Amino acid sequence: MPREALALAAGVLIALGTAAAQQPSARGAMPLPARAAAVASALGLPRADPALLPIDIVRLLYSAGQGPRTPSDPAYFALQEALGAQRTDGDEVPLPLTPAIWRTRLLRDPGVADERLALRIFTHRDTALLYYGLYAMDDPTLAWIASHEEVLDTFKRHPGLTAAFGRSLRIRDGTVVTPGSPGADAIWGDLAAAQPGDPAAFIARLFESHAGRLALLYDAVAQLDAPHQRFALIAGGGIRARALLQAVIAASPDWVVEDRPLFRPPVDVALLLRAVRLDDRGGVAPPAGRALWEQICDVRNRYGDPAGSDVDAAWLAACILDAAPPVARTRLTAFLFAQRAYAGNAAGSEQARLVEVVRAVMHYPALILTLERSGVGDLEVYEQAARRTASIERLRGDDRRMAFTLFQGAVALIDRARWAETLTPDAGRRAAAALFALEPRPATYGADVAKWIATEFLAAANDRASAGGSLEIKVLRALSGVADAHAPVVEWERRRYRVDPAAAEFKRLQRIRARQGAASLDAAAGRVNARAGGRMLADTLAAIVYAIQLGDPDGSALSGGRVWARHEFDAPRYLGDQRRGWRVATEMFGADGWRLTGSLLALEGPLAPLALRRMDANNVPPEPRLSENDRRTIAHTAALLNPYHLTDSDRDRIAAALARGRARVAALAQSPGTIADVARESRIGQWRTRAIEWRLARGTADPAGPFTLLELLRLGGVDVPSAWGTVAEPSDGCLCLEPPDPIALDDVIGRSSSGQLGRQFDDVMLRLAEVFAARKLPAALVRDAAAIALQDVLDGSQPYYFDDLLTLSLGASALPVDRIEDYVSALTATGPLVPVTAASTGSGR
Amino acid sequence: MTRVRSGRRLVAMAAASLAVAAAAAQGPSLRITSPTEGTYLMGSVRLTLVTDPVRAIRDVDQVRWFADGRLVCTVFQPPFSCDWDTGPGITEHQIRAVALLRSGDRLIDNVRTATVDYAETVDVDVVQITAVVTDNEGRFIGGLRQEDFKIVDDDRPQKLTHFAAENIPLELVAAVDVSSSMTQALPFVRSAAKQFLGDLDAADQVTLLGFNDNIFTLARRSTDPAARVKAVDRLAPWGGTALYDVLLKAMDLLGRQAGRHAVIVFSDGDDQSSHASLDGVIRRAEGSDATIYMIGQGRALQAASLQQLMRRLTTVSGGRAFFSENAAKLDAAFHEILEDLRHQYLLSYAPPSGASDGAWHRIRVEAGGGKYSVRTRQGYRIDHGNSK
Repeated sequence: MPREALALAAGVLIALGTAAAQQPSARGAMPLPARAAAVASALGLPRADPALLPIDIVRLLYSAGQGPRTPSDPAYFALQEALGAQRTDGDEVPLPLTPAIWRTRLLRDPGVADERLALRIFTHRDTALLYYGLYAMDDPTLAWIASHEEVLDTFKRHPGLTAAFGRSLRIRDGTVVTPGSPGADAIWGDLAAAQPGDPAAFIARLFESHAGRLALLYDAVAQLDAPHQRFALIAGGGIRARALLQAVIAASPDWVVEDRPLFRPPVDVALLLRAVRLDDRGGVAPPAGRALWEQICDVRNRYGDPAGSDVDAAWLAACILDAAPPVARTRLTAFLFAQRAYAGNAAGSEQARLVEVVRAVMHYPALILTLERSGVGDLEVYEQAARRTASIERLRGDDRRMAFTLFQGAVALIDRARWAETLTPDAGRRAAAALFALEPRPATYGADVAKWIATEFLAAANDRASAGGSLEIKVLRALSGVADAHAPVVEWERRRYRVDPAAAEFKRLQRIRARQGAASLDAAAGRVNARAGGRMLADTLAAIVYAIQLGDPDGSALSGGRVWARHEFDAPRYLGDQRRGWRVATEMFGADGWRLTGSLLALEGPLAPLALRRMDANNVPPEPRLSENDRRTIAHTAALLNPYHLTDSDRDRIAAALARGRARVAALAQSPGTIADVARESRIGQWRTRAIEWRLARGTADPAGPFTLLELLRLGGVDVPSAWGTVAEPSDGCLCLEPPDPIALDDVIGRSSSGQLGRQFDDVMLRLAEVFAARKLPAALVRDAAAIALQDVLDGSQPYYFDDLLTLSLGASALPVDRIEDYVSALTATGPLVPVTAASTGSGR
Repeated sequence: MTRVRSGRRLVAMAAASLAVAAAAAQGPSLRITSPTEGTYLMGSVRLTLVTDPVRAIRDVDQVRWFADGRLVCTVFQPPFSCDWDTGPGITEHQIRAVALLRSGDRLIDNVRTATVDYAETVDVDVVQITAVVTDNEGRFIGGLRQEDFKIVDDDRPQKLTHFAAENIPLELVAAVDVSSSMTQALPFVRSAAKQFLGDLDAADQVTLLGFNDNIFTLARRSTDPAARVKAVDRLAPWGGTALYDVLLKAMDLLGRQAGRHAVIVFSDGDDQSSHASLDGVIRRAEGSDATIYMIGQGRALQAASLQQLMRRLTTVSGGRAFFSENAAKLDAAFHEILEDLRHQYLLSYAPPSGASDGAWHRIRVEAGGGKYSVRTRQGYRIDHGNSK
């Protein structure tokens, strides 16, 4: 055949293939009786994108609770009105499968006109959830379903499970492609008692077994990466897979999945399997010995034992999931802490020590996790700390309170000095060891701690931090940081400023201390020879620890009087929490005054809202729709940000990656074959992937649709540097910043009770990085700018339902440059931009 | 000589033309005229600006004024000035003006004022009292003169140093609860509040706060009735109730200049979210010359502790507490407050020596030889930390 003809034939084939890729055959469209914008507006939804509107409708109306919505519900009423109109000039929205299938198999009403399909589907819970679940399935899967309509009966019987787990069903060439396949096919077949090669039977068994818990496990495994899929399912073989399923069945017994398909417990199998660190062989990373963990998890594994001596997925699920939520969280935190903290597998006497340390993190979490995040924790330090807590716990009354305050206050000083980088990790460890060596004798502990502060603590601190001034001044400097001798100078709005977070922090602490009216450290330390003097030192130390986290010196928190004096370490007896004083505190309000109950450590958590700053308090913002836990998580991130860890090189790397990500998204229209790669790398989730495919098929002008900055960053090939991340506590218990979890926005649905949405919300930091990079502004300023920006976004970008992270993220990415400039200008007032002599006469800004 | 002068004039005119041309090429600019760089500020200051060229002011759509990094006002009308209270003491401030042009561009200027490292302050204490005089049937008694009043401080008669019966400036802070429980009552509250604010004298300065678990300043020392009304429309209900915090903030917002000071708080519930303590609020009220009026509605009628607090604060300050079951009848309460404010006398005297001890000193005021009832603050506390 002539070369030209071959080329022509090849070109035709490619075009046909591309066209086929662009023309899904099992996904159609259905008309709305109004423009998408009008329907969205009627419901108060932010997006008028026809491809995503149906998803927003389902999430808005059917996320919470079970049962059908009623006409008295304003949103439901608005939907009925909007979709019940008699117009024919509205937009079209995607319809998985064909109108005929919907009429005959799903609605059982052959007479439903196309124009009434949307009304029938979305105003009934079951059909809305079916739509939602089917929407997420890919085209080959839908094509198979379309030609095997009997499987729809299974979906109809389980609309909730379809909505929740349909996204994980993949059918190719008449076979279900199971998570972890091909190695996992036999295991899933065994679990379902039906083979993937018979999709109808397999799907029926998947959905009908164990009240949806098998489908829950299936979906959880489907979202894992390959190594975690092997760990979860294949490594232990069928017996252990059955054990894992048994643990999933027993977990959260009050949760009926079908009734609340878009809800997830705070600790569930998906979170557990994703969070466990694996070693190079795909097993649990050390310490993994069962002998160790059986001493921690005092529930004997009732689902059999792993083959070897290490724990496996099933064992961990039994230990962690098969417990009440607070216990589950404690055990998971302890396990993941151990994995972070230890490289080698403990054996013998080392194991005994390890057991004690892991028990310590369960019993004294605020202490151990603070030592970990401050970088001074190692096996020996943790053990010493735990031993010291035991002697403090034996004290009673005022002596107990004094000892708690002095001990925890001193640890808090080390923690903050490490944050401020005035203590190196080694110096911090030495200071901690010296502190833990002090016996908390009531008559002498005050004097001992005073001496420790003046000698061990300050001696270990950076020379420049502790040079000159009173004891209190030296300590406040050690907590604030040291000015960088080569700090950049910024020209801003015709003036020159030195970037000096240490100076700003020192000034802030001084102002707060002045407003507190408590005795100075010098006065308190000078009186410690008498027992009462120890109490004065304790009071002053507590005041300083609070000062670190009380935020704005002009804020309302300072009108709270002696809030540190009202701090309660012990919970009332009837609550039965005997170690309250070692757990992260909670805030209490009441006639007795605002106060915190719990540990004096890690106060940035309970006081997190004070870390945010509202630049405009002249208008009442709309009612927040984010859950309280998510808002607190976002504020907690702000409280942990550290200007000394935010580097210009990371700033630039982020900006460059965002640009690359944007370029890849822009190229989607020309390269539709890249959708799968883009979706996988960005983790936009199945629903938005299907939306892109639908838009491409229709030749929409902007087929890609919205991408968050985090997704663009992933597309740009970069992970968020930890210092620019979010608080990890909702995921793995660490009181530190880490990159958001590698999950899709869809995976935070139903998790607002545990702050998971806040955990994933990093877009403000990324937006600031982008703008700061363009304006060549030092990254060290991002921390203070973020405190304002986060409050601004929380006030102004309202999610339209609890889990609407997309709206929040897009709000962050749309922060105008002008607004960000206002944030920077605010930093010249009392922030880290400190004026340098006279105003510049240069062009400046 | 004339030719030389003409030549110089021509050169000067040419230079001026070049300068104008250069400035025009650069575009308009903004300059803050008050305060000026390096000045010392204390108390209330009027923030003012000009554009260069002057005619460029016509292109300004709005001006946002920032003080110390916070937005203090947004002004939509020329001359785009704004009043701001710097607070007590002389400290450094950063004032920034951002003018948004109709084209979308921004003009920005900023000034930094000076601080004093050390200032010797002399506190001149004056006890200021507002008094409402009624007969035994509750009718207001007007037309009294200075000699009609007797003041006793801790059983010691005092000599009045100042007396005013009319045209006394009023500075008022009105705080409206916008917590979520107020959803049903808020439309009525808005209506009654607008009526009340509209009935105040044009010269009265009003600050309007909305509060839930945060405090929002919706109108700041405004004398513009239209602005006050617009501010009321921005009230929107959600969140908890930080009642103690807003009481403290309201008292802090009142200026230190002579005149009448009043706080009106409308709430339907007990405090749930304040950082301030009850004791702190009471102590602050005892040290303030503000007359406190409180209106409780809805859930407040069942909250005995809230009613107790309201009565205590209003009594100690010489104000009144109202409890209204029906949100639609709030007008009556606001009307009574208005009448009270219209019939106040202002009395001042120097406290006896030794009174600046932070202790509570009891005041008794008698009018008309004792034949009238006088409602006034019950005492005072001079604590040089934060009271007056």
